[in-house]
Amino acid sequence: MRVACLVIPQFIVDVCLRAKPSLRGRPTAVAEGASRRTIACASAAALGVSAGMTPKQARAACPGLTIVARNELAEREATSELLDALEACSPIVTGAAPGSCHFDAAHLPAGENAALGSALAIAGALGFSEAAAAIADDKFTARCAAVTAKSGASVVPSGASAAFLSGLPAALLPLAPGDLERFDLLGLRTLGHIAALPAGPLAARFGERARAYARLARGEDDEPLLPRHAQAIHESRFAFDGSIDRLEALLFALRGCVGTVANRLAGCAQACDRVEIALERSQPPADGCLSIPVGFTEPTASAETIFQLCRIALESREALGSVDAIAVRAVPCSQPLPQLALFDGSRASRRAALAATLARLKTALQRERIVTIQSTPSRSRLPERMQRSIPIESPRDVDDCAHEPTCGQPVIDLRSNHCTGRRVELPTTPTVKPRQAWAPALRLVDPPSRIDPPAARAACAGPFRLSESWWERPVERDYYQLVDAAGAVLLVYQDKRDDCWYVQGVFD
Amino acid sequence: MPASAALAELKILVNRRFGNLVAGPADTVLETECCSPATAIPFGLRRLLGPAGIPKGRLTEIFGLRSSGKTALAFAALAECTQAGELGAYVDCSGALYAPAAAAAGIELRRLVVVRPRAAADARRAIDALVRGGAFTTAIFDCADAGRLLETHHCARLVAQAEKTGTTLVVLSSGDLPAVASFAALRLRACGLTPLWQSGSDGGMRLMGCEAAVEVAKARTLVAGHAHELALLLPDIDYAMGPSQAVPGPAYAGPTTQARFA
Repeated sequence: MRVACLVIPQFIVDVCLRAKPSLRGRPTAVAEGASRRTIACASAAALGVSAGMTPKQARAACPGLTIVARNELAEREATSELLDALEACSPIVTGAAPGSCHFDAAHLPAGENAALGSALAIAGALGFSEAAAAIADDKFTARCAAVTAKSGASVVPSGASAAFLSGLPAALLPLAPGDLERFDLLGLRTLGHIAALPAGPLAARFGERARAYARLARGEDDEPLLPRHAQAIHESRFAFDGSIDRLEALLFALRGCVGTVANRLAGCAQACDRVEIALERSQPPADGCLSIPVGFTEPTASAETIFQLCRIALESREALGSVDAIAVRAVPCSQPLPQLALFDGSRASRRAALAATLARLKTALQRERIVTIQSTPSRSRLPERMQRSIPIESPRDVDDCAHEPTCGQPVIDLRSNHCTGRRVELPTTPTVKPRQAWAPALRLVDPPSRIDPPAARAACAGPFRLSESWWERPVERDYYQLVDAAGAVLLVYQDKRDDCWYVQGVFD
Repeated sequence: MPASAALAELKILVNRRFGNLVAGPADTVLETECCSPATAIPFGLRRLLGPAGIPKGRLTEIFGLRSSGKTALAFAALAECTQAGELGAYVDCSGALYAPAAAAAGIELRRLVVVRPRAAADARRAIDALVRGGAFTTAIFDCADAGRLLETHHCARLVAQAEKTGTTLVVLSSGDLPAVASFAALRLRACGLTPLWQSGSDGGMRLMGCEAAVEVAKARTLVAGHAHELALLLPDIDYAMGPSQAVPGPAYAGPTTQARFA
């Protein structure tokens, strides 16, 4: 088997530059994450900037740096475009990761070097400035050859994979977190070192995944190349005789469209995790097409589920205007359909209920309004910075540990209790850890509200002085716990910078 | 009907109504009332609430003025739910939910879904979705500082959904929601907090915690008017500016001059 690999090192940046050509040649970095706080990739002109930096650090390292947000949709489109174009080189093309593609290089009529040249030319024509391509006996070796070459074409002769890999660093392996450091501590720094070790002892020390490491390091990657299937978008459209502005009629048409799309999905044994409702409008002032994306928490092909979520999405819109036609588009997702819940009350059905509830909430509210919260006392001593909200993306974010009583704490078996002098049978409900005390709840006032200075005779504890963040936004406060005139127990502070008093929280 | 058969039937009815509250031989039913298992709800309060506790599938209202202790009671209900491995939900209309306080109250935060709606309609949609979904054992609707969010028709729908799914629905209010008061199966009045001060070695004061009083204002299975007092102590790891968190500064002696604070 001969496999070719095309690697585009700056793929994420190149995708952004394709959308904004004016940034070409200028130092540019792409930030990702929920609040764009991490640099994912930087252009060659952005000297000193590396992945993992914060935007502030990146700007400090490279003044004049332009930071753009990562566009994953554009990346998917670019990958699809690249794979389509590479099918001119080989019939079997597959994408591994953003900026990395493999294709079958066996029995190519024009030869291996010509195929690599074509692939590089295609990448250049699509706007990817820098690309590397390599051919080897297996996918891993081909990828390593392309990554280490950085640009241009390289060919690893047949049967020479192990010799080629032996000098390359172990970091090229798809290692689990922490394994690279452990290899380094043992002096295993190259693929050759790992390949030379017997697989059994290696697996005994690092787990079964180490067998896969050793196999890859010896150039024995046996993962086959699978042909790519074109992804079909299921779409159903309903055109009205005239413009309609009533929601009932819209929902009637929507139900029909959703039913058609769901039937097609089910017929292909597929599910989707989002649909798009397109409302075509021709009358001013709202002419044009209004696109309403509806995301699901779990993949589904159920017409009723999809319809209910689409209905909530439409109902939560204030004014839809006069609509001439409605279309529903569903893109099948790669995840398989969830297993059916066999028994009511089982974990699976509870999770399905949770998924349905979260989907309803996300459709009706903004995504960032449905969160789990974390207490982060080590992050800061300021009350408003001692918590963090994390938007819920999937039911797995909350229910992984559900239905298991709290562990790690001593559990008292209370089925026998002698407090009344004779044995009493108690319910066999799950026991929970005993609590020694109950804490008063602090309701946070965010932002803190300004108050008049308290009277000198007010019962209070404090001050407790807090000084923090002197390097960016200095905070200097004197905190007090006091009882106000109405008898409420408050957490207040005096800001030493403006000498004003603020309520931070109310004990309730 | 013999007494044992009647008692067994009663046990089945109670279990069906309150969710396996009573187990074991029928002749031990009456004993469970005074010796229920340790939960996150204080023992005295459990005794006050009776065997049903905060009833499942029903609407419970906890009301009181600002700083009366109602949030601490809601936290206790959530802590009991999440510690038992179930999921809890909190609709935080005023953005007042504070994670360190919730964690200190014993709530497993990873089993808690928090919804922070922007508008009143969003809040109603959120609690409706949470209750009708059936995934959450306890759902708290905190509208204490958010005005009259729930009217009669909202409450009727919520109560019907809660009964269908068995969700414990708890509404936190200031006591100004007549519709909620009418539909609630249990109403608890948080009567107020009394701070517990402790003198420090430096002559200053320290807030050790508070004493809260709770009164049953309405109940279908209990006699209204009974009250209970419980002590709420600040945890060792202080989220509310205790001496373990901050450095004591000079004592506050009140405003020195009127002009200074003008």
